[in-house]
Amino acid sequence: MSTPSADLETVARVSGRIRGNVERVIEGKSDVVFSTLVVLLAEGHLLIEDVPGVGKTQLAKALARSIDCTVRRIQFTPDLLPSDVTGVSVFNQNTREFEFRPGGVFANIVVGDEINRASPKTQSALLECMEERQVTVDTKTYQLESPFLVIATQNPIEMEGTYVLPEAQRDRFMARVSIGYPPTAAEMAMITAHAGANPLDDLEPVTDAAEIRKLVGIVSQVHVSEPVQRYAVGIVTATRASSELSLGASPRATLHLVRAAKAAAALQGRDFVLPDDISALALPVLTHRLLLSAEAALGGRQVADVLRSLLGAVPVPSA
Amino acid sequence: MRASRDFLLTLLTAATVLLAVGSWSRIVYGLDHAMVPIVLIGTFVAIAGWGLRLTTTPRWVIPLVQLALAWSVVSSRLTRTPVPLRHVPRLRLEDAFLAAGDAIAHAAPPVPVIDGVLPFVLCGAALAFVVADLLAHTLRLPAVAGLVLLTVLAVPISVVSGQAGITGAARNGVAPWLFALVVAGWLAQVVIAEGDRLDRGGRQLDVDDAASSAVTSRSVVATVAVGGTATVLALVVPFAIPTMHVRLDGFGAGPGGGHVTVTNPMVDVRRNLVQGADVPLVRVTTDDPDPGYLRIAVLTRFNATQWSAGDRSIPKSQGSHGEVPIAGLSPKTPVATYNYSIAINPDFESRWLPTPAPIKAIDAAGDWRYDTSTDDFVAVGKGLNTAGLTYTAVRSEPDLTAADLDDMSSGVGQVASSYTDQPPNLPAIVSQLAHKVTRDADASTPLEQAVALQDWFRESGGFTYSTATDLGSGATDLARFLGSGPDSKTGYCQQFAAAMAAMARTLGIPARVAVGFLSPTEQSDGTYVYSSHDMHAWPELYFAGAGWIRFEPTPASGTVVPGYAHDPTSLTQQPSIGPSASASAQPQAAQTAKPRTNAQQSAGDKSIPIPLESHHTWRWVALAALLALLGALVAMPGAVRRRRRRTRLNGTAEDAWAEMRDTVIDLGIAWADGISPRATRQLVDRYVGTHEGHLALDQLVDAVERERYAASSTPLDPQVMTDLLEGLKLGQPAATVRHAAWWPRSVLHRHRGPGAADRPMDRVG
Repeated sequence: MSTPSADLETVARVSGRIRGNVERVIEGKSDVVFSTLVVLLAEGHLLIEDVPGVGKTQLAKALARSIDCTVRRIQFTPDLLPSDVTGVSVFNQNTREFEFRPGGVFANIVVGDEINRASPKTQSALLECMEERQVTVDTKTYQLESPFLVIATQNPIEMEGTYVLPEAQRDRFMARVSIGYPPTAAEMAMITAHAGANPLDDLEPVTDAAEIRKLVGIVSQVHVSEPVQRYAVGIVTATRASSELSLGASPRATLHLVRAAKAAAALQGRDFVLPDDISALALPVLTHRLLLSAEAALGGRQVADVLRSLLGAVPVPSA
Repeated sequence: MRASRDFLLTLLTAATVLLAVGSWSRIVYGLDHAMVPIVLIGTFVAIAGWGLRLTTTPRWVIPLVQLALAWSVVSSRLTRTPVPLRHVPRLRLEDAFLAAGDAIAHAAPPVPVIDGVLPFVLCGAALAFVVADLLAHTLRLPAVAGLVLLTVLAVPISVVSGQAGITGAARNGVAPWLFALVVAGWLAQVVIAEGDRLDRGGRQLDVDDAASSAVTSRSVVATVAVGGTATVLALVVPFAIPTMHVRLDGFGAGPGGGHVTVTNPMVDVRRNLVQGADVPLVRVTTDDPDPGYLRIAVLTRFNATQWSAGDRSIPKSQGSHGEVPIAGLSPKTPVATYNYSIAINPDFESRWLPTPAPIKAIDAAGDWRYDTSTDDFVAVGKGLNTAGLTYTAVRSEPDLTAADLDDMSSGVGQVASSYTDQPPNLPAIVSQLAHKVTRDADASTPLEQAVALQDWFRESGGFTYSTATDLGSGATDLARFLGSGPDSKTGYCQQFAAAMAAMARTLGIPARVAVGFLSPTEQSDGTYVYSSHDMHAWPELYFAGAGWIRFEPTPASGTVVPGYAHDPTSLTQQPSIGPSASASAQPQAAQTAKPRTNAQQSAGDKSIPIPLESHHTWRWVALAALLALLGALVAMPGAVRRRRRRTRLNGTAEDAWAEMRDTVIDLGIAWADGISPRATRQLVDRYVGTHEGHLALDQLVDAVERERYAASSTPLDPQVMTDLLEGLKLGQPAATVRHAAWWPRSVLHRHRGPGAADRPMDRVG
């Protein structure tokens, strides 16, 4: 059951290379890069939410470039159709047969830029693929190749021309991160680096899809003890019981939380999950799934604040 | 674990009640005969209570079962059957209670247990056991159980006259060491129960546990501090405040257990002689080869009801430093002098100073003064008494022969006429008998008359020594003593001395009654001890040129009062004087007049006086035991802590974690609840004072994480804990480390979950 130390070394080596590569593009944001890797290895999908221009797309692209695998980018616009995402069957005059032309989702890494600018119908088409890892067009089902990672970026919902992502769809993202503005030093270094050429252009792949699949297999072997499971369930249950939240986390959230924690543990060279992994990932994994109650919202509370106080109240089990 | 701890606590309660019941020995005697059933009752009540509390028995049933068990023991002791259903046992039971009621109604304390108040003693003890157990354990109110203990202790305090309250408790009703032990037992229960309450109650998650723990620890410390201070004050203050209850005119016995207070000089010497232990009161070191009587006071006034001290003329010049003139002794008479060094037992409080007689010189601290005609010393200073006093005196023994005395007149006219005063209503029988006796003995000189009277009392008069008399020393009682009624011719030193002095007065011989001690017991170290059973009264008659001469009319008894087994005849200290030197003196008297030795005493006496040193030894042993107990109480938390550490250091990583947690708590560092080992490391790390300690902390966190959360764990290197504990200690001030070693907070304020006695939990505070 436990993971051999050689496997953990592989995880550390490969992930180290990816992180190094990505951080050449996104400087000073190692925690965001780490979360991205966690989601990749936990077979989840990542939602990057931030104001325009902080490097959301850069991050997604950098990750995609670092892995020698198929990468597609879909720019979501209000007129984007679901078939643009999933693909479409067209009639081939020569063969006199319908032929399937894969949409943007057919890739190992799909970068969905500004996902909240698309219509809900198109959004849901993508989200269905994310969950089921397959595409069904005209009664025919096409499997998506593993690894399959959707990195969606979105602008904050209050920005103009955006559609709010429904709760059910947000729930399908394993984690949501914000990049935030870079530190001053990083921003100044960026001026120099970006003066000549885009550093993204120089980025070479440091691994490939097969290796990532291997890493995913290693992560799934990480041990989750019963106290840690209890702790994860305790946190999720607390969100459901909180009077400050009108919507708590779903059972899918629990699964995502534990899977993410396993990936985080493996990335840190451990073959077992600590409560600290759970608590560290609770914010990125849970925040986007929770809804504040009206009273809490009126009181100026943020979901993250509520979650933090819940984390302080749920005791860490020792045995 | 929990059950055995509860059992020990239950036994502790029973033992504390038992100690408190022990204080009743001040008001009853023979309590030891009741101890077996009392201990049985206590054991039954404790075991039944403990056992029933383990079950789901309703609470109100428990005391009923305990009462039933206790009653079966009481009934077994009184009627030989646990359930007195049949007629005969019922009658026995009724008789026992009626007799007990009668004993209480008609006897002054101490009353006997056997054929006395046994039923009440047993029932009272049973009730105390049951109520204390009910409050302390069934209802979990150990602090309130203290009221039961106070009630039990209050019984002797309220019965024994004297000061009320705790001062009275320490002085009169309850021995201080016993009081301290009972309070210590009660405090221990309160403290342990407080720890228990935390254990069982647990804590709320959102409460700041460190703060909560601090509040709780403060409450425990406050309880102990208040209780402890009150106890110390109760025990110490009475000794710092001068007692005011000793009156000038008196001497008698205090409550039977070892504390003797002089309240009325003539009075109930009998009480001292028959009841309670033979308490050593005075220790004398002397070069006198034959130390004998020690005089406390002289009674000069004779009236219808008693002999009393009369008046004293005590100017300041007649103090207790220097020479004392011997009244009436001719300067020509050669005298031998002996030095006395006298030490009074702290339990002996008297406003009269015991001195050898005749006294030539004295050096005693305090404002003691003497009257030139009586040569007895009375306390003038406020609050002054003999307790614990040490002083020196010189006895002057006139070298007189019987022939010398025989030539002397009675000395009438040389002393105040009051020494021949008789009460106007003195029954004629006294005078008639005096004249008849002297006439029959053909006595013509005052000395011959005195000897005739003495011999008549001792031998020919048909008198019997007995303390079983209710006669006093007044004129009326003496007439009954000398007469032919049912209670005549029976008495003890008080009647003999008073009667001979009264008869001597009717013959015109100045006479008075002296009260003091009979011959002492020689100790192995060469000192002499006078004890409460040596108390005695004797007549002194005045002879011109010789002064006041002692006579001894009391016949030996030897059956009830040990001192009289070896009856010292008169004038033993002055063998050349008086009847014992004459041909008519009792030959056996001279033999037995020597001071008793311990060996003689044990061979001849039924009740063996306790030598002074053994009494002192007992007190020292009690004090040492008390100190040892207090020391053990103080050292116990540290010892418990060290034992836990030893066990844990050989255990798993979890054990090591628990050890670190307790060490952190002991050092006064806040310990957070419900957080992960890594978070704990962040809190603790800043308190570690060494580099090795930091590394060790990392290793411990790693080990405990693996043990808790990994599929397999690795053993912890013992050196890790050594480094970590050392690092923690070096990171703190030395005073904090000492406090942690002696008074570990983790022991005093534990709150573990049930069944997790040695399983560390993160959720500590």
